[in-house]
Amino acid sequence: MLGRFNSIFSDLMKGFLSRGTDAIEAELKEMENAFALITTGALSGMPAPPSYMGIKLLPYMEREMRVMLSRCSTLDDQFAQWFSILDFG
Amino acid sequence: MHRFLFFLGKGGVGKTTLSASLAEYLASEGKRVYISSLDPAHNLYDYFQQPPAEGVTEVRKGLYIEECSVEGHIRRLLEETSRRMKDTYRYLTVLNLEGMFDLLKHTPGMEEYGFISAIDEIYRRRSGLAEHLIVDMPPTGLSLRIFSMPLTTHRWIDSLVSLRRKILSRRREITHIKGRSYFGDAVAVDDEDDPVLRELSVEYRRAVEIEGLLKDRELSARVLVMNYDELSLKEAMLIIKDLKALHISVDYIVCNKAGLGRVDEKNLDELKDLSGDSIWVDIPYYGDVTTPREYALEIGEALCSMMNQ
Repeated sequence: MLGRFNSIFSDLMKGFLSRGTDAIEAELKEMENAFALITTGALSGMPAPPSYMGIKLLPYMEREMRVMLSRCSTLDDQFAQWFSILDFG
Repeated sequence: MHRFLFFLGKGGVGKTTLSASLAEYLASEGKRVYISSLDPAHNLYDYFQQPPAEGVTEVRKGLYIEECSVEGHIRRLLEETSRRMKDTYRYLTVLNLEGMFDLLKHTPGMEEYGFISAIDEIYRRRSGLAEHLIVDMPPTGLSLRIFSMPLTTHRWIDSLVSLRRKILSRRREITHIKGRSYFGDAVAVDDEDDPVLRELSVEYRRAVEIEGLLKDRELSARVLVMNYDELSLKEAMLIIKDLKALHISVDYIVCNKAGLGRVDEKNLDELKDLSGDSIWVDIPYYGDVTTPREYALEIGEALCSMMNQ
């Protein structure tokens, strides 16, 4: 009985943690996207740090670049993303 | 006398002649002197009647000259970045940032990077050569951008470091729940492992050091050269105002070819008010000379005694 209760409780915790990390992960991706946009913004005409900073950081920003590019492709569906994280609908 | 001297002013007022004359005079007094031109339209080698060369040339005992190649600094940045990108992004077999050199060198901010990198090189690698290091700056617009760049850069880096730390903190939170393998080995989660944070710290230190070099009144002095004509006087006012906004002082004002032109007394008084405690000196007009070096020692001596006041 106790074992079963533990197992249910453990599954519930995993579910909560997973739901919790989804929100953190979405926030992380937003920040990574912003970081990539800021550092390379000078190359596309945005107010940004000097463009050489973006060039210097480029070798270490593979993940941020991927996040930024994937954000570009889903820009028109931002509400759906946030609704999915917040489990609406 | 200061260790670093930056000569600035409107194009054509005589920055190269005066800075090179001071270098010649100091060398004639047995000092070791290094002079560098950052002006894209260099003529330091012409002044010393030497064939152009790359790197530092000792034109006479204790007198070293160099014309800095800003393009060379930009090219080195692109080469180094291309190399690092090939190391990091393993699937990139063909990447040639140098191939984009012509495009990138004209990208806003890149030219200033080249100048800052050149000043950094003078500070780190040429300091051991000489007791006095003289820098002949490019004309006003570019000089002002160079002076403002370290300040702007270090403010931007402050913001980027703060955002970066938040990113790493979120990655750690996720790792805590999903395990370290979630992001893979290539993605840093700790501050000390993050190459971006490391690179930002290096650039921050560099920006702060260069900012210190450009504005520290103990270490360096800024010599503003002008002529007695309305255009160079107005430009001198602009330089002083813009540098003041960056908390940078103009330590000396040298009026070259004094006696040749005239300016409105009211404007001259305004400039004197603006310049505050800057020390002024007039360098007389020596008439038509066959080479600009003809009166180098007289000019250099006058500048030197102004700076030793």
